[in-house]
Amino acid sequence: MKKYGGIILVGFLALIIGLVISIQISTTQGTDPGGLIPLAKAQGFEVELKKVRAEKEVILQELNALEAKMEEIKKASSEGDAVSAELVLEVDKYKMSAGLVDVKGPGVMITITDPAADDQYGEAYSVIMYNYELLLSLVNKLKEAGAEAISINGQRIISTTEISLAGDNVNINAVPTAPPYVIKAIGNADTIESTLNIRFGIVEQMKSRYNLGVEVKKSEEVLISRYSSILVFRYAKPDKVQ
Amino acid sequence: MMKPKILFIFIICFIVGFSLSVQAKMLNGQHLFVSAKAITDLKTTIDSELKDTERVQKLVDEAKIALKEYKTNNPEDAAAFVSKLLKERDRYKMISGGFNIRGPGVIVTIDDGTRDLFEGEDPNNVLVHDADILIIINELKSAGAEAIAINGQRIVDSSEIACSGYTVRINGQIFARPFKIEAIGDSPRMLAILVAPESYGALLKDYGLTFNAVISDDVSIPKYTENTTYKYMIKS
Repeated sequence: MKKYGGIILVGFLALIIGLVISIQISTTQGTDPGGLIPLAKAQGFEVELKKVRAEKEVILQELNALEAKMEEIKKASSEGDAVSAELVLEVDKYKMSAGLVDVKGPGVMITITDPAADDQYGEAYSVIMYNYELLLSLVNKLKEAGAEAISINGQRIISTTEISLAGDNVNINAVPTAPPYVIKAIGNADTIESTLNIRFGIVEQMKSRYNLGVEVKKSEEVLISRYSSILVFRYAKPDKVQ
Repeated sequence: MMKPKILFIFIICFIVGFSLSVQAKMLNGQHLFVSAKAITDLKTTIDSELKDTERVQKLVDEAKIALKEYKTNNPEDAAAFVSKLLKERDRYKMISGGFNIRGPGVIVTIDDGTRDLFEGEDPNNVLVHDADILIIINELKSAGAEAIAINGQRIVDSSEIACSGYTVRINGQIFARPFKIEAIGDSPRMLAILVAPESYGALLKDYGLTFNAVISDDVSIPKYTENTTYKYMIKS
C-alpha cells in the first residue's frame, strides 16, 4: 500500500488542479462585460426576477382588496341617496379613463425582440432601445386604430407617458424598461392587427430595416394593468371658467 | 509494477474528465453561454419591477388612509360623505383631462419651412410631419409636462397624431399647419430640453422648418371634449 501512497497524492492534486482551472475559466469569462456569460448566471437573475414579480403580485393583490373594500363601503353608504350614488358612478368613470383601473377585453399582443446575438448588430447594444421612436410610432398607430388601453412591459400608457432614452435605458413612465418588449392593446383586434401588418407598414419596417423579431397575436382577452402611481399636479390648476 | 501505475493514471484522468463533463451538464446543455446584453436586460427588468412595486406600495398606503377615513365617517353625516366623493371625483377627472386648466408652461410653434429647395431636394424635408409633432410631444412629456394641447386639442391617453396628406388628425379632428403646442409644467426645464443643441427642435431648425419655443406664465389648456365610452374594455 505504501508503494502507491505517492501516486494517490499526485492523483488527488491533479484532480484539484483540474477543477480549479475549470472554475477559474468559467468565472473569468463571467466577469468580462463584453464576452459571454455562463447560462447559470442568467438563470440566477431569472429566478430573482420571478421572485420580484411574485412580491409585486402580492402587493397588487393587497391594493385590489383594499379598493374592493372601499367600493363596498361607498356602495353601502350611497344606498338610497341619488346624489351620492351618481357620484360613485362618476368616480368610477373618471378613474377608468385616467388609467387607474385594471382592464380587460379583446385585443392584440405584440412581442418585439432584438436581433439574435449572432447577427451583425447583436450583443453590443439593443436595436429596439436605440430606436425607441419605433415604439413611439407603434403606440401612435395603435391609438390610430382605436385602441382603448395600451401598455408596454406592464407600463400603462396614460396622457403623460413618455418613452425616452435615458442613458442605456428606455424609460416609460419614469420606469426603466428592457427588451423583450411586450405591448398589449385592447380594441378591435382585426383593425389593430391589419393596421400594423399592412404592407410597408410599421411591422414590416421593423423586421426588414431593423432586423427585429416582431410577433403580432390577436387575443380574445388581453389584461392590462393600471398605471401604478397617481399623477400629482404641481403646476396645472383647474380654470375658474369650465 | 508498471500496470497499477497506468491503472491509477487512467482512473484519475477518468475522474477529471467526468467532473468537467458534470460541470458542463449543470449548465443545461443547450446554450452554455449567453451574451452580456441579456444579463443587462434582465437586470433592468428587475429594477423596473422593483420600482413598480415601490410605487404600488405607496398606493397601498394611500388606500389604507382613505379607507380609514371612509370607515370613521359617521354614517349619518351624508354631507361629509358627498364632499369626500366630490374630492375623489375631481382628482380623477383632473387626471383624465376633464377640466379646463391653467398654469405656467411653454408654447411651441412649428411650421413648414419657407426656404427654397435645393435642386432635386425632397419637398418633405421642409414640411411638418406627424412624427415631428409626436417626438416634440414626447420630449415635452419626458420633461415633465402635466398637460399638453395641440391647436387647442387636449392630448389624453388615447390621442393619436395621424398624418393624412396635408392635414394631421388629432383626437379625430383635422388640423393643418401651423401647429401650436401648449404645455403646462416646469417651464424652464421644458424649454431647456426643447432648445438643447441635440434636441429634435434644433434638428427641425437645421432642416429649415420654423420652430419656436417660448415660456409663458399663464398657459390655458381646454378640457378633452370627445366622449369617452369604451366598446371593448371592461374593468377586470
